[in-house]
Amino acid sequence: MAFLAPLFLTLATLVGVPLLVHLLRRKVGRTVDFPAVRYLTRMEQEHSRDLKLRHRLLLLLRILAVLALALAAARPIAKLAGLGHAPVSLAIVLDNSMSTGIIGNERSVFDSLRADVRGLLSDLSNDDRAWIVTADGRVIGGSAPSLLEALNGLAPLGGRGDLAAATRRAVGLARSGSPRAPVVAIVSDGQRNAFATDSVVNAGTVPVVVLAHGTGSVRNRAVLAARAEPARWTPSGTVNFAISAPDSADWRLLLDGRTVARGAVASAPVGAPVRLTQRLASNSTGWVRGKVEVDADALRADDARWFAVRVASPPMVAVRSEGGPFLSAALSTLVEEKRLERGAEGAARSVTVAGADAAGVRLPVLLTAPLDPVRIGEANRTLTRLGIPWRFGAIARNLVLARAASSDGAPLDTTAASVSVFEGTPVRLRYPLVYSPGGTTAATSAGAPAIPDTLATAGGSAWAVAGEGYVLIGSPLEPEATELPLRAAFVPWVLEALSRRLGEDGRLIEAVPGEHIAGLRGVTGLESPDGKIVGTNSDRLTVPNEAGVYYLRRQAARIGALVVNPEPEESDVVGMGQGAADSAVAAMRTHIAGRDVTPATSVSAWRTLVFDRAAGHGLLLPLVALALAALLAEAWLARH
Amino acid sequence: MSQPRADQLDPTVLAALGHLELVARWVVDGFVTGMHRSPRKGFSVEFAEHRPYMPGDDLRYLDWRIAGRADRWVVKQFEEETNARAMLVLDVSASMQWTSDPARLTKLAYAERLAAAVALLLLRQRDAVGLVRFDATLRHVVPPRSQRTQWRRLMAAFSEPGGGNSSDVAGALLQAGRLVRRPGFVVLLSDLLADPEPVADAARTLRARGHEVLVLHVMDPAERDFPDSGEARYRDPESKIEVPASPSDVRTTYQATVQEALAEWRAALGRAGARYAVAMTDEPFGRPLRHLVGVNGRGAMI
Repeated sequence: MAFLAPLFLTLATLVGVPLLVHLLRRKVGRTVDFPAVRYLTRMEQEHSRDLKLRHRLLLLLRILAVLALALAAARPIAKLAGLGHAPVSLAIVLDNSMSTGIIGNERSVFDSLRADVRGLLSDLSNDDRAWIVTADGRVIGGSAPSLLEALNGLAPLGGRGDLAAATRRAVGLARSGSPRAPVVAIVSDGQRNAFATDSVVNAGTVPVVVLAHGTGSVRNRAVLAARAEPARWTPSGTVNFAISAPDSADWRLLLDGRTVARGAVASAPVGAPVRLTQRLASNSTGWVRGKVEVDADALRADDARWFAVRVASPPMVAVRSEGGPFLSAALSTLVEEKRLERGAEGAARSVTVAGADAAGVRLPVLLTAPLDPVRIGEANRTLTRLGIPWRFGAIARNLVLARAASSDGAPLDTTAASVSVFEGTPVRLRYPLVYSPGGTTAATSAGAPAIPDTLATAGGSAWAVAGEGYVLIGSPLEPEATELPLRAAFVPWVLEALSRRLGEDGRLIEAVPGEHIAGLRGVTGLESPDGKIVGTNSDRLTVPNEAGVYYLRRQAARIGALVVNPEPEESDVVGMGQGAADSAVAAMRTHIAGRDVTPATSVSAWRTLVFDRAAGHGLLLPLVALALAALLAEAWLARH
Repeated sequence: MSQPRADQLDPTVLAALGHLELVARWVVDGFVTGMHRSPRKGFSVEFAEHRPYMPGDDLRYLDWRIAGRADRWVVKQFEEETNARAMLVLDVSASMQWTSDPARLTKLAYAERLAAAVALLLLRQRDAVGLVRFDATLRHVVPPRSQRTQWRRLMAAFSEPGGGNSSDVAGALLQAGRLVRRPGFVVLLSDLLADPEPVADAARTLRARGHEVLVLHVMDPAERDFPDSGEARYRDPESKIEVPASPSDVRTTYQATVQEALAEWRAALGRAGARYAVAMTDEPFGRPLRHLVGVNGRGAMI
């Protein structure tokens, strides 16, 4: 037995009142004249046993009444089979992933799921607590009427969401409603990858009841990929895209709302879509919105896929030999591919790539450490001259692994290539970079907390840093010093550093709806496809649920694009027919560990199972009835 | 529309309308009117009948002819009926001066008015009536007379203050019996907060002397039902004995005990040859008056 308001159990101490009255009855102070006292005396002599029995019975009834009322006030819950349901703490996981937007028989799957939740909410009583948790992690709590109202405002996401995270959150919420019986009820469209995650939700002792809907046969056309290559068009480039369709389908390619190409593809499954490459040239410059679309079908959300491209002339770079042969070779490759242009050192928009010990370099620069330790003094003087607030420290020759800069274990910049290029790179020779805004190398010691400009650390010290007009690496880019130039991500990183960090390209971020991204320093707003600008006040944001291209703004300037598209696997709706619901639930079941995880075969079974998990009843009414019965019996006995 | 009869009115209302003498007259007038209308119409002071001889009867009134003819010993009663002698024995102890409700008559006030009515009724029949007021002793004695001035004497006696803290009912009965020299009536009005046996013995003695004994047990309704005074210590104003009790807990048992006690009184006095009736102070005077002045054992009124 549990209690909703256990503090009221203290009322049970009031049983002392009738007991005290009973014990003190012989010490009553009030005196009343009554000539027929001889009858009282005689009565006590003749009926002493009866009177004692009667007094004790009355005492017991009064104590029983007080105890029952105290227990009732504490709102006890007990599981008594066959008596409705005890107060539940019910967290309903409503799958509103993109696939629930499938329309069949003029009604979407999501509408059916919502109707199921509505039915469940209608079974709640005032003693219950309930929440709705959607696949995008949104939590709605409150009374049943407010939940019903909020339910009407929910809609399918533009992506898959995270049903595992929603379930994990629901388990926590259900537990928080203790001592009510915790229950998690999941209702999903039964898509096979609803729980496409490696993580397993541990529900522990919280019962979970899963219901999956099937749909009729669905013939879904989808654009599964769309990307502009390269990231900067000068002004031409290509768009690579992939389309799956159960039969032949027409496609269109749009740039800034204008159709610039069209065609048709043969049937192809989601697992092996038709991949196409379309060469295009843009008439306009700057950031350009693009879209590949197919004709509308039952699932509208994947009928179009967005991309963005920067249209501008290539960044200019001036290369000095001090940067080393690997850096020079990477830059030559990029120039040959016309991703970069060679420019004169000191010319406008031209980035200088050199060793830090090179004389006469000017910002913007990408500098590497000198191979010869003797040159460190010269290198630090160059940094001082350029106003870069970092200095090279004493040489370190031990082998360490570089780490991408992070905060509390999370990368500082989730959108940058630096995460993959730096993480785990062996470093054998390095000069720990010391933050020194005042010009003295003693300003900070090695091992100090990462400064925001830090891109990577090695041996606990800053190793790669970036700031206004500079990128600085604490090792020479030679294989005997570091394996960085040997990594596959090295060349893309160099291009990103030159074009985005030191150039003016800004950044292109691809994300799925609901994803959390970080590293947006300098971004002051997000411009949505309809032109609305929403301000941001931190370097993190949650990706909007609606697919499209959102421009990153720094005040009035567009400094990048956030491309939001659903996960391609969300378009895989094959096997969602009615008969597949059970296997879908079985698949979901493997992702939920717990003592009581039960699939429901129908909506009515789902509702029954949910409340069966809290079989029983609150004991408020029975206890109040018991107290009343005791009081009535006491009154009857007192009169007779 | 007929006027309400005084003997059927609420005694408290009636007492509030006039003093003791006036109330007695109203009650008697109403009572006599009622008697004329009642099936008992026709009772008369002319009534004459034999009654069984009882030890103590004056042998001068023995009917020797019946004794010789039927071998039955009876006394001729008629000569006595025409000039009956009655003694009213009124308990004025402290317990009689109690009422459970200030708006209600005390037991003594009720008994006084009833006794006055009885006296007036008898005096109107030219019977001799006397009065004894007692507590532990005889506090006031008015010998039985049938003179017209007797009424004034009785009224003066009723106006005397109440008595002390205890009462000797049996002793008062015996002494009252001695004051009635010839066989007559002894009417006891008391709350009978005493042991039944001594009183029954006294009644038996009086009966042996040829007296009719009538006992009216005057009770306050709260004494029968137990007052709703809440948890308290209940104190006897005479003996000062205190008993703690909660009315709600003991009322039923108490009422049963009172009924047992009344049954004992009825049985004990019945065995002694006395008539017994209970009068509640909230009931009209007419009912106890009928008990007292009703048809006696020989079919005659007192």
